[in-house]
Amino acid sequence: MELGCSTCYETFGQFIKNLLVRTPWQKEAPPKGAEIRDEEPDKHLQLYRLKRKLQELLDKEAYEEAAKIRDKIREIENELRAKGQKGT
Amino acid sequence: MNLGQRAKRAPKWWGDTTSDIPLFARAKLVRNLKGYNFPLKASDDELEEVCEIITYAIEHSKKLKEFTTFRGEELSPEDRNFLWERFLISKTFIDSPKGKLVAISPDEDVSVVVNDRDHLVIQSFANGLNIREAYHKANEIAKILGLEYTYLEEWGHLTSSPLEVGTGLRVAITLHLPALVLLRQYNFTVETLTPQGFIFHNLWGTGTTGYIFVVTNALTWAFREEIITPFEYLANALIKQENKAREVMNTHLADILEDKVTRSWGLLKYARLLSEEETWTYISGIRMGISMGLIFSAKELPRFTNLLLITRHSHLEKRTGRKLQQHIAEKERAELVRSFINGMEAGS
Repeated sequence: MELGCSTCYETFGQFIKNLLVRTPWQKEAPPKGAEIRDEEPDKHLQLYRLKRKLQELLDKEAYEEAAKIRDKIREIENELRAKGQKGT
Repeated sequence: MNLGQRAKRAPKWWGDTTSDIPLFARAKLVRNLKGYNFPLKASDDELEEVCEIITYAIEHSKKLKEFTTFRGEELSPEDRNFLWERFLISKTFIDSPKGKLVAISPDEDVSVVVNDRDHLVIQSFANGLNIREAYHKANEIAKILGLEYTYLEEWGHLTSSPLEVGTGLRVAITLHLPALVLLRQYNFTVETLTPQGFIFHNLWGTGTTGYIFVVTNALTWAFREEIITPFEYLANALIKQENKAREVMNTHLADILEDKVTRSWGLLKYARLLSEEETWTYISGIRMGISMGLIFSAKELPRFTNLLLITRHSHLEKRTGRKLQQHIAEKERAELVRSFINGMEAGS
């Protein structure tokens, strides 16, 4: 069985839960999202989108807005660099 | 990356140097990007955008820069088969490479597959039973990529298969269990452990061919420790059982055992045609023999483990640089094995 998007989990939630049987040696209730998640959502996706938007604005010659976006990009890049995630 | 060069040796994580029973541990993390449909439902444009985003993230992080990236369409069917034999991509990637991407670390211990069944599948390998090492490597890559994954408070990470929801983590250990199979204990073990949430399957082939088995967790919607810790116990218990079975064979069926080992050696040394299945069975016999001190010295073990992988069909094709029919491949395989054994005997 394959699902198409995250909405499926809301629509077919109960059905899916019936599929996932826990074994006796496991804790009674399955974990909540926060107990599983340990990667912090980060900035590359945001950065990518901003850069695309910047390009669009430059094409439209909307320089004022573009400057704002550029500052935002720099801010995120500095943040990433501080974490040592960015090469340059 | 020159695939032909790679075909001549197995990656570093392949096999354990001290024992023939554990081969390698694998951890697989499944993730999907927020705001995009899963690959099954996504349009071509969406898939392309997901590809671009992940490529961007790979190119812009220090650690991942050295990864080699291949687009699915760029790879020939032989290349895809070769990568599959090395466990870097899945069967579905071979059949439909369009819109997919794979990034491979220089040591081949991590592979990142994009737009297969899910947007992102991070696989990582480690020697022997190092499940935790494999998990930490995979998790680190998920962090470094720094992407925002689709996630619900109730479920955890969402995946296209509901059987991988939650942690999206599947860990696996690979074990070589010939004595359990020969003493007909293997099926009993599987029947006992399957209801406990473990899935057994053969690493290659069907049934018990080659005697190498993979055990994975059935449930991913669980606490991380609930997934990883049982494997550490399970691995040790299975290894203990296998060793016990070998002891029993050694005490009560010594002639059968000895025949199995020496016959394997003789066939590998003198056969002129070797199919894949035969080669696995005979190498299995020799590896068991080495571990039990019946044949060769212990330092030869890694070389035979290596031989298991490099005699696979696509590996032979890459090595010879041409497409091989079944019959020719069997001949090439036998030649390779023979020269290997002769070289080894001359050296020792």
